[in-house]
Amino acid sequence: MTSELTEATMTSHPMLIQLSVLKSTARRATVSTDGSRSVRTLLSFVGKLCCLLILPLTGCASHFDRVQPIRMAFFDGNLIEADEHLEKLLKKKRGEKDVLLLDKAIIELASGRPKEAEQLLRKVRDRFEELEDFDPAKAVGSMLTDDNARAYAGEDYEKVLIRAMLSISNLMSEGGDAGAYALQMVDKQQQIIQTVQDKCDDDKEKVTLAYKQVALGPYIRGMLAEESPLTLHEAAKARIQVAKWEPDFRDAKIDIERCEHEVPMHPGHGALYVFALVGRGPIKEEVCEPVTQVELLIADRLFDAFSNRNVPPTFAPVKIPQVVNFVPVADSVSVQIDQKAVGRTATIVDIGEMAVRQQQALYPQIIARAVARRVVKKGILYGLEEVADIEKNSLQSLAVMAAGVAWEASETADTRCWGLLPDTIQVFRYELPVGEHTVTLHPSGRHGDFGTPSTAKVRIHEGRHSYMLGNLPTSRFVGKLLTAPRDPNDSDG
Amino acid sequence: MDRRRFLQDLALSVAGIAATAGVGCRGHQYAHVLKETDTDMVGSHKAGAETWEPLIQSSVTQLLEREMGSVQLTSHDGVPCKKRICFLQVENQSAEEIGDFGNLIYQEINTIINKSEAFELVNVRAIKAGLQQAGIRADELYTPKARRRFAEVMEQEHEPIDYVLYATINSGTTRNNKKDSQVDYLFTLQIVNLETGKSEEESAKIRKGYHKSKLGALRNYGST
Repeated sequence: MTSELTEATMTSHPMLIQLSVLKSTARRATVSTDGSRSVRTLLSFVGKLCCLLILPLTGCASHFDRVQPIRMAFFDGNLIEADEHLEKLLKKKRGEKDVLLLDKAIIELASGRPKEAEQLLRKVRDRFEELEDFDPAKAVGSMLTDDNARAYAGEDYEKVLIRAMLSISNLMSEGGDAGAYALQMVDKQQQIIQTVQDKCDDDKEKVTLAYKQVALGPYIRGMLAEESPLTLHEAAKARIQVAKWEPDFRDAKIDIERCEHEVPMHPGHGALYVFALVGRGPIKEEVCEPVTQVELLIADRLFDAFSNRNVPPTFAPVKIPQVVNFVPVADSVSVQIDQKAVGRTATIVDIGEMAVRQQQALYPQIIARAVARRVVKKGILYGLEEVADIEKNSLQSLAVMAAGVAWEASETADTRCWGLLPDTIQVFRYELPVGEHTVTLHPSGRHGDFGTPSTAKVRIHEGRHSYMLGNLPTSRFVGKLLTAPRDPNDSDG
Repeated sequence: MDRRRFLQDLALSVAGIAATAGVGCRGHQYAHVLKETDTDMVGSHKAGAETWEPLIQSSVTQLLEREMGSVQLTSHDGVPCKKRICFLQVENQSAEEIGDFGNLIYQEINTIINKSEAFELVNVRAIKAGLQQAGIRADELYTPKARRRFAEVMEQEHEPIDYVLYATINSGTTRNNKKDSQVDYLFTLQIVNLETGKSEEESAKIRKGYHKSKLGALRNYGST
């Protein structure tokens, strides 16, 4: 409590001083009657205004830097520490609240609390939906500062993956809505594809390829339908859709074969589905990228929305966020049941690839927005010099230029992103006799199993599915292996 | 002089910040208890009480009324008896999560059935135990063999069952390119007579329009 108060006092004090200085200068500018004095006072006011706006921005750590301790603690398996870091950031950084809540949801899930994870994910999903609408005030704000001024509405891949994680969380808490979330996943991706196609008239094919459908949606629908002998036809249809959307999915053919021609579960048996969140997912870091003619052209179009003038050519590099992927430590998860190796998980969603593909498709637009922003800033400064009739190479001109440089330097790329996503979502299915079984998951690579395995008991009911979820960002599992249906005696979580 | 002005400005700034914090505080939430006559709030993003309440009321009442005509309300020795219905859960096949409404829908159906003169619900725990003992799943009750087996087990446990009730929620979404959408919610009840194997079905539908602007209803449907 004491430290919170101290932090609050420290942040509010300079702000009060800044406000009072600003106010007194503004008053002086208004009451002055002398023309030249008025201009000088106005300039001095603008200079101070720029400094006051810029000072809090310069030297600030980006979202990328701030979430590093959370990521590190999480990857080390220290969920309590990760949560503590996250809670501190949640109190300090309101603009990053939604994206931090997404990370919190992953921590909750790994801690064995799927219901809490579902609640958080649902909250952010609804908030992102609200933010999808264009807000002119925020758009102008981001033109004057940077994209961090906009409320974070989520990357397209994140919007789809929120629904994917909702479905998995619901499955692990036996909520009965996993199918609904799986449908939402497909529906959202379809909406995004439609919106992006409408925006990018020039290269529809490229964009459609970058935004291909996510096969996890029909996979979960098919899996749920397969549990009942009455809905096997629907299961087969969903399995065919999986194969169509993710042709490289290893188990696609076996799944179709089973649904169409075999008995999904033999008498006295049930099926175990293992979901594994493998690797460290994509994050965004700031890079300086050169500007080409293509981006200038798009910036020109963007600029048209505000002004009927052309964008002056500016080829200096701009700061933009770039999606960064990590080389996965483990390729997959090998599954051992009752001491016997039964197989390995297969990738159904490659999140890293999905994020990179989508960013590449929108790359010219991202740079163009940064260029348009620079032009707006330069325009304001030029306009100011014109109004104030400042002579070239004068002291005032130098002051305005310095303010302009500082204004542009204060710009940082928006590196907000869902930092605790996995690199891939992998699945594995295995039919087992009714009863309790010991399941051990091993991190697995090209040269076999390695790292620290994790074990949990799972109960198989006749003709029913049981589910298991493991989170493997590096070479050992983080938190608990979640199982569903849960043992009624297990009160934890 | 400057110091005095600075102090005045500082005092004004502090007062301004304090006033701003007092007016626009987002940390509060307010609530009130609704009267019987108050209409339900309309969910802006998904179906809520305004959708489920009328759907349940109309479908359950109509189904029970239809079935009432064919049931014998007295036993062979003249004792009044209610027909016992086995109802497990609501199956959500829609594209919207029902979340905590799942249990509420179950309880609503439970209340309506138990209020009727001809029917009553069997305790859900007894049903689950019976299914487990019979080694069958709820959806297998559609097959005559599984139904007979289940009825036998429940009879032995002194929890005889006359009907099995299934509830399903479906939805269909229509979108236009202005991001407005219409969702049709269909609530279906199916009742299976365990003795005859005959099944009856009743559905109720509600259509809801979701709009991104206040004029959306006017633009799409010509009314607000």
